[in-house]
Amino acid sequence: MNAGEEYLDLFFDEVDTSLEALNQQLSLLSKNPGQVSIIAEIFRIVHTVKGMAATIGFNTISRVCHRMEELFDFYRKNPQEVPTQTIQSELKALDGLFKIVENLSSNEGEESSISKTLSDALCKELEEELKKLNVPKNANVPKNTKALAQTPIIEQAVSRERKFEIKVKFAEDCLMPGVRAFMTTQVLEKNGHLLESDPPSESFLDNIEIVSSGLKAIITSSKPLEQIQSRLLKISDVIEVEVLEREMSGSSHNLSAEQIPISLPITVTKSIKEINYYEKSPEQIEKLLSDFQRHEIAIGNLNAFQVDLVLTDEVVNAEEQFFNLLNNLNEYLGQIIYSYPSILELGQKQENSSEAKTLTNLLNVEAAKFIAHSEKLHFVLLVDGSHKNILDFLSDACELNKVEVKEIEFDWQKKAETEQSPEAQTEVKSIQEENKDLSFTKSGDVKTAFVRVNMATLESLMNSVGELVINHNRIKLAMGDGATNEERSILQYLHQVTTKIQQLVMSIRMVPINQVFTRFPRFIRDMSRELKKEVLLEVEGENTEIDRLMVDELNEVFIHLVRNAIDHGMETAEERLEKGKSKAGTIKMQAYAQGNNVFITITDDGKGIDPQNIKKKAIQKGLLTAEEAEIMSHNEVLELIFAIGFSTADKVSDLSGRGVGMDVVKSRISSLGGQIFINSVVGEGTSIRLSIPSTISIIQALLINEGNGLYAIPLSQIKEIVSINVLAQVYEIGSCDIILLHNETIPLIRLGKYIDLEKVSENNLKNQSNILVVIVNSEEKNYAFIIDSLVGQQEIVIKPISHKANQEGLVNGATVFGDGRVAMILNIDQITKMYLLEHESREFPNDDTGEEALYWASRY
Amino acid sequence: MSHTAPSVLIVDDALFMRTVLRDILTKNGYQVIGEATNGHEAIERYQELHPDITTMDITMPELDGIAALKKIMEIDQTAKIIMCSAMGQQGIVVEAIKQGACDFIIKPFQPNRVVQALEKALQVSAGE
Amino acid sequence: MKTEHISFSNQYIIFTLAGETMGVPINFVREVLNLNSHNLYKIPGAPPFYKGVINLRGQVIPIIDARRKFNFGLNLAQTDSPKAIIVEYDKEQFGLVVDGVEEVARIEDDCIEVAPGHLSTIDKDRKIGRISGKEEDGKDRFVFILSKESLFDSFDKKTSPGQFRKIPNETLI
Repeated sequence: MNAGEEYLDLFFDEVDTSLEALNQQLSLLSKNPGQVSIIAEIFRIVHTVKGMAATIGFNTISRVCHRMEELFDFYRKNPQEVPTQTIQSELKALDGLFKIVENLSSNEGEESSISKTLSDALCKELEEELKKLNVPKNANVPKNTKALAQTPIIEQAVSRERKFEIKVKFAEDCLMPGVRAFMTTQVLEKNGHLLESDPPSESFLDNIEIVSSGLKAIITSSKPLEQIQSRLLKISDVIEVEVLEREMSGSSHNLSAEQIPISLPITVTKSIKEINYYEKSPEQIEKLLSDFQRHEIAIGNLNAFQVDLVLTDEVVNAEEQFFNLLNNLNEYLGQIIYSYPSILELGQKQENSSEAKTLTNLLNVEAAKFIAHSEKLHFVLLVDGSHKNILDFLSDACELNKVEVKEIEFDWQKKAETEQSPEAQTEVKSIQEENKDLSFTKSGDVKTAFVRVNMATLESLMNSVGELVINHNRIKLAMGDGATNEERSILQYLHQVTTKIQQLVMSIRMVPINQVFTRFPRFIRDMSRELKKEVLLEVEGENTEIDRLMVDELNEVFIHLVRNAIDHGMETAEERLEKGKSKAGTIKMQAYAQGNNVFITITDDGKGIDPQNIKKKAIQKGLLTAEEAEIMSHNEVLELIFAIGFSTADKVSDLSGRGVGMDVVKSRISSLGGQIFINSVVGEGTSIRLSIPSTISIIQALLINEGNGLYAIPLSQIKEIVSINVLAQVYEIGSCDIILLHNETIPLIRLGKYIDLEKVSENNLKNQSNILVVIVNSEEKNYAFIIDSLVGQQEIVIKPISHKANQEGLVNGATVFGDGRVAMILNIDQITKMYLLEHESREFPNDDTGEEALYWASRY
Repeated sequence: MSHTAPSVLIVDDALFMRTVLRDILTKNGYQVIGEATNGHEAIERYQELHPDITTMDITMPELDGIAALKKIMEIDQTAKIIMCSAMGQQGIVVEAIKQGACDFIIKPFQPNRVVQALEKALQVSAGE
Repeated sequence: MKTEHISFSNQYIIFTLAGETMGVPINFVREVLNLNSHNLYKIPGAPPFYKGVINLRGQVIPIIDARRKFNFGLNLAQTDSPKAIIVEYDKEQFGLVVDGVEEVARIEDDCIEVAPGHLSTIDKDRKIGRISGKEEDGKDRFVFILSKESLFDSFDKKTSPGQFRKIPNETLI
């Protein structure tokens, strides 16, 4: 079955999640190769993926999964340590699956030859692993034995107990016939005592012959034959049940013994293979359809069913009954396309045939015929429903002896599904969507259901919310002080609702950064193995939330950074031991949120970056002259690795070779509105720090005037706003000013100096008696910013500003007001860093030299 | 004629599977009244909703389908539970049938088979 | 993108800047608008050739002063009604301030050549294009062709880090 395009997105989405989970579990397993719970979980996930892939028809995936599953099924049933080699193969298979999924997704669900080849290769490798296991297949199943069923034989103690021989046939396309056979014996056990079965119940599960041979059983039961029979027919895939009553004293244990049927066998067959003379082929039926009907069938709105029925003997006037039935069907359930005997003929026989005439144009005229008792009646019906609807209707409407409902499939139906013109396709889609809506309202109580949302939709929702906020503020502004109390309260309510929507939309977008981190244990293990280096991973702050939009982008960035760290940064175990370091290197991934930013550091304790090497490379590549290199600071040199086309690798490594350069990493981070800092100490390691906005697109901000401009400071970073008496509270230390506030010394920074380069303020502080300062917190330190005036507090929407225009990172975007004005959102952290940089570490000794270097790095 | 759509509880850890199944069922006149993603949820939801039929995935996190089946059968002997299995799980399916599951369907789901299984399950009255 | 590229290929927006005529590929241009200096907002710490940002229908778009960016005709007076050509680069939009926008012209690839060595051009690609018969006397008209990249070339000496790394050095009090 091809589940079709409507499920593709859902499939890719979910399969991705599953594969990520699998990745994580495999990583865990490699640490605890014997842990049963992990093995069980892996089995479960693989199984799930297999099921999904098979449903949508991606054999390339399901085949690989099947073999992965088999492997883990073995370890699940035979608890023991999974060998490293097996885990490796599984990991490889997982990688392959990721690739196949990617390939499928980029090919819009088309299985390419690449994915097929890959799938074949993976299957082969997994099969090799499977062979090693030597799974004892069917080892404990005795073959060809006609053993007695295990049920104790209870001889006919009850007087009314009768003995039956039962033959059951299963549908040819029956899946798991063994289980069907088992279900049959279950039913028999419930309805009597199973004496014997052929094949014996022990060999059900591996016996595919059951489909062709059927199941024979001998039971004793006090129940009526018909009841047993009808119960058996309710087992799925059971298509024929024959029940013969046998003499109680007969040789009950030998089925091949002479059989003396006491009553005539009643055989109910549910599959009528032969085409009756009155039946029409799908092609003939098709000719009876209108264009509209064909269309409706093609798009699945209508289904065509062929119904054969036999009325019970008790029915007196079969013609009338059938006529009425057809009319009722036509009126309440669907459209009769054809019937035998024809409705028209039937109608003519009726006293009042007026009803029938209305149907004339719908129906095909067939030769008139009287209906004899127990004669098969036949009609073709178009309904918007299933077998079940028809059966329900029929069983309510008339007394039936037998009924068979069969769906008619037209050749073009399948073709139409795959080869529709674009217009037709969209039409199908919209109809399906309508159906979905319908099903959604029907199943209104689905509390656990999730709705997957396209990120673009979410993004545009977010923008709309932003507009809402802006307009809310506009109304507020327009109403001014003259607003009535009622207006005020409406506005207040509007504000509450808007805030709520904002929070909801934001919460939808935020995901823990763990989504990015989880890939790495495995990635690092693979890489370290390949490069023969020992590397441990430490993760901190994995619950830090980031915008879902950034996950993919960050993932690529991290892969590159981690790859660099292992490939270029980490020494081999021998080198490390020689240097007196621990044998295994450590890579630390840390994340934490502060204010509107998320900080992520990736630190290794490898050999660090030698600035001399970088200089050499840069000069070689013509990026700078020897003279320029001479006067560069340590950090300026380190920053060169972000220059376009720069790479520190001495040889092109297989692993790093396919990656992107650090320049691309930098531009990626910039495009996210973030910054990247580097610090490295030769012999001790390298630390890369990223600062990215957590993209809380709407924030509370303090609006201030400074110089000629209007600026916004995120409220989350503001501790307080105070008026300071210059004489009493401002002190001069070295080249710096500080204020004393609540017994704390706080650096005093003239904001205008950093953000308004044109306005080099001549104002001397000493000429002023009072100054207005905003106390802000940055990286856990307080700073006092002098500002000109306060405008107010307001919710603002962050609009990104191209990094190209914001290379210093002094702003975190801008915001637009209802009246069209634009205000820059200040990046307090960056401004304080510039301040610290300027005043070096003399005045503000910083015990953490790494941080110090980062401040330097942050300048570019 | 009154046709109240039979109510179904779908239990499967994969959203994808639930969606496919829900679509099949709703298109065929069933009413999906609830979904659960693991065995624990399945038991909870069953007690809460008392569906006519429950489709139960076998392999699920936290509590698997077999365990959930046992629990539900303890609570309600007349529960009609159809197991959702994959090829190769015969042994487990047999176990499920022993525990009282009324039928099974095999992934990948074929709509007509799914519908057939549900129809059959509805036809069988408790204790028959 | 691809089809767009094909259909607009060889078309250029011809504009004037400090008395010179120049062209930018049209597939790079989103729109042209009048620039009102009142609506420009400064970006702290931006490279000096950024005049600021404008609010274009809710989007914040940086505006590049083409004269300063290309160090070109700085001493010539600007027009009273400058235009901003909104261009898209790397999924971001920028405005390029020019003196005037004249027309959309077609310049075939074989009419574009590298300028002779002694001629100073605006970017390092040194491309000039020839539009036939456009001058008043019927002569061909030559325009400097501005490549997309030249606007954002980060290795352009003028945009090298050194220049705007400087922090004002005056003391506070």
